[in-house]
Amino acid sequence: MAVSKVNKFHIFAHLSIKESLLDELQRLGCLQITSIEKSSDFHDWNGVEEGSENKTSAKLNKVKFCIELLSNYGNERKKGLQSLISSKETINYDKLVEIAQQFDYESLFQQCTTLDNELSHLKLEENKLNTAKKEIQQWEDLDLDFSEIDKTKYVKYILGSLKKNNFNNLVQDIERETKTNLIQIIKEEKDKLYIVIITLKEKDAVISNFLQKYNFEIYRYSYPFTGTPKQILETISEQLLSINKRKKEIEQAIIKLHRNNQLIYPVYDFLLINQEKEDTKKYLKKSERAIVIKGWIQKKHIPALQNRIKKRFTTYEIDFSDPQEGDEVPVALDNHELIRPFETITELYSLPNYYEIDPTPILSIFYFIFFGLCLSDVGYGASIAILTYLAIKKLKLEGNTKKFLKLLYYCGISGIFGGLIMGSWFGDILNYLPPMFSSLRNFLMQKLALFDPANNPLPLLMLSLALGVVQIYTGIILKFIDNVRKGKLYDGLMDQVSWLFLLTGIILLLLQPPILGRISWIIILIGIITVVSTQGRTKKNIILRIGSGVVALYDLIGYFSDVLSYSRLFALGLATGIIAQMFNMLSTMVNIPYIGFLLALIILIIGHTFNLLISGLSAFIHDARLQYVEFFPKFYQAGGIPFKPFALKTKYIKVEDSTK
Amino acid sequence: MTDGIVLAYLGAALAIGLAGSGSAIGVGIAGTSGAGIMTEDPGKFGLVLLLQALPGTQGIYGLLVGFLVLTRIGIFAGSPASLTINQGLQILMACLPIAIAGFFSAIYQGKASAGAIGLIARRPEETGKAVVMPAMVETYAVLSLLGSILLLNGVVL
Repeated sequence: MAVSKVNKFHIFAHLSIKESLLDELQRLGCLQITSIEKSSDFHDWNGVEEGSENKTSAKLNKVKFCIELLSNYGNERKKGLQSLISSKETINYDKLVEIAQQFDYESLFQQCTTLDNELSHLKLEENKLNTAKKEIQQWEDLDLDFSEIDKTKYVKYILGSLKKNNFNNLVQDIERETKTNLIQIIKEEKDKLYIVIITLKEKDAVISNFLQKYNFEIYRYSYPFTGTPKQILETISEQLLSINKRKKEIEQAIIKLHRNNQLIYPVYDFLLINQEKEDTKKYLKKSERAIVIKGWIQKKHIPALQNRIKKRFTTYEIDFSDPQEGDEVPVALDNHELIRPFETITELYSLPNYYEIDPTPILSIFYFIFFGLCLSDVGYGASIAILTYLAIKKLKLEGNTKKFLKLLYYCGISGIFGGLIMGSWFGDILNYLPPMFSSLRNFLMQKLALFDPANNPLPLLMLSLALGVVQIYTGIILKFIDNVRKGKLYDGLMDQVSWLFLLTGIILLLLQPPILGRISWIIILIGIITVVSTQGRTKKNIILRIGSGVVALYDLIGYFSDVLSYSRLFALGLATGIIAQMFNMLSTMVNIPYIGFLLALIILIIGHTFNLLISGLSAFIHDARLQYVEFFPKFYQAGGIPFKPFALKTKYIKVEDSTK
Repeated sequence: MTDGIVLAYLGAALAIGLAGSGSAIGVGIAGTSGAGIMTEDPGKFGLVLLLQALPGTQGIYGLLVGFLVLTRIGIFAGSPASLTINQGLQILMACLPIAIAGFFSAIYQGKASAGAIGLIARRPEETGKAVVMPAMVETYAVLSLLGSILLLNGVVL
């Protein structure tokens, strides 16, 4: 229906205009350039490799490195969520080329490398000092110069730690053996003691034995600082301070560099554009004097292409042709402005095959209705609609982000309708209004509302199931139309119309309208006979044929469970309203004077935001699931490859093409 | 007040407690694998969080049913209805679908979410399909919620 018609094109051009022609095509941005197939006459021509793509990607890597360093410290660019939806600056293409040519990124790269190296060096140093500090802190109370320890003639100092419960035994053993000993506890931890043992050198061997016995860990000082632990710690602190100071200086330098080099972002994008151009060259073939470019173009863009290159070039020839059997035709969807946002849902599943139906127009109606039933709250719907409307208006968005926000905007509007028919305004918040508004409340919550799912669930449940039946019928009918379109009328009659009979009969039987008593049985019978007699038609054996026809009746269970699956519309819609009521009630339970009002307000804001997010997410996913699992399998042939135009693709800025 | 109300309380407690426990386990399973993915690519935080949140809905459904029970027996209105043992049992039974199916479906949905998180780590372009996978499990939580609501609606007080 709305799969855009695509044509194959070949452009032949004189070798001399290769670069400018590619430039022009990229700026036009509506061709997909592909490789030339083996069967083509030009397949044996030479490629146009020049080795320049490596140069571009090396440049790109350098610039990327600069951007990563600069944006890490210069907090002037927005981060996270903001960067996702923030608007991009627009730059004219000619201006961009000029900027890129004048920008000296080599020297910036040098500066960035120097700063980065020093920064990582400082970080390393800082880590070392911190480790030393931690270690020496254990000995802070030791009043002894570390460098003196090994210089004594007769006395030996042994520093180390051991478990608390071994301490007394060690002391006893040492005292018994050497009579004269000094053991001092320096620091006590939870179950560990840091001690210093002062002894004579001649007793060393004996004591070593004890130490081993009690798992004494000897501490060996291994840092270049001299002095008592306290002095050393001071030195370290001073050094850390100076490192920090230097780090701050470097960060300031980076921030300044970032401020002075904002043009790095457009330069990056320029290189990105160049790289895409280089990448595309591998598809080109050339002879001695000519090049050939092959690819796909949407039919509606053909005049634009012709106008564009006619203006600048003379030495070329374009040839268009319809896709042939066996071609892998890229797929672009082409829908009305209103429906376009819903393409997101189709694309999330998979694009249609080029020769098949685009489900988006019909899907959009169902998606819109179902979302409203799932969200079903005027307050929430309005919140979504207003927020997304503001985002679309205020931010200069483009591409898929804009499409998605527009989809959410429609979803919000649908939620408002859903809320109206269920009488849900932030749950039952209207009930808490002062009595003077009671007539307004009655109008909004009762006159306008068609359903009251909390007290009388059946009507809404029936509506949900009925919508399911409608969507499944639509799916079957679409398949029938598709079959007819492809000239397979009989298949359509046997596979789809037979089922429509059977299903209609069953529904009539369930509803039991008084006039149709017998008729529904007759319709069912026709359905069963056609299904049983046709579903096995590929089998040659007559018994097998009827057998598989009977087995096909089993699909009835599939249809049954498909319809039941739509009960989620009811359940999710009810859930939104009840959770909202829950928060409203919670907020009234805060009976604290003066600040109670404030607390209630906070509960309401947090609670409703939470519910909005959860219910919105549920609605979005379950709605999509109904399309994907219940609707699509009835008719949809997915598996299209997306149309990827050769264009000015950028990351940070938006390029404007003045000649368009 | 008669003894039936204790049974009604038990029903509400089971619905909230069991479904909530299931969700906690499920979100935990998904979170562990999500954290693993984010060590490699912290930029996927938004998507991972979305998938991790999916098994959380059962807990909400449980709370919802519990809330409905409490409203039904008039706790919030300040005057609890007097229930017979039979009525209490009816309410307890009505709570069982979401308590049981909520508990188990949340755990399995957590596993499906963990798998989906692994999928978007390797093929970010397949996010749509990744999100639908765990939602398939959720179907049964929604159906049990529906069952609980309909049963509760049928209880005559």
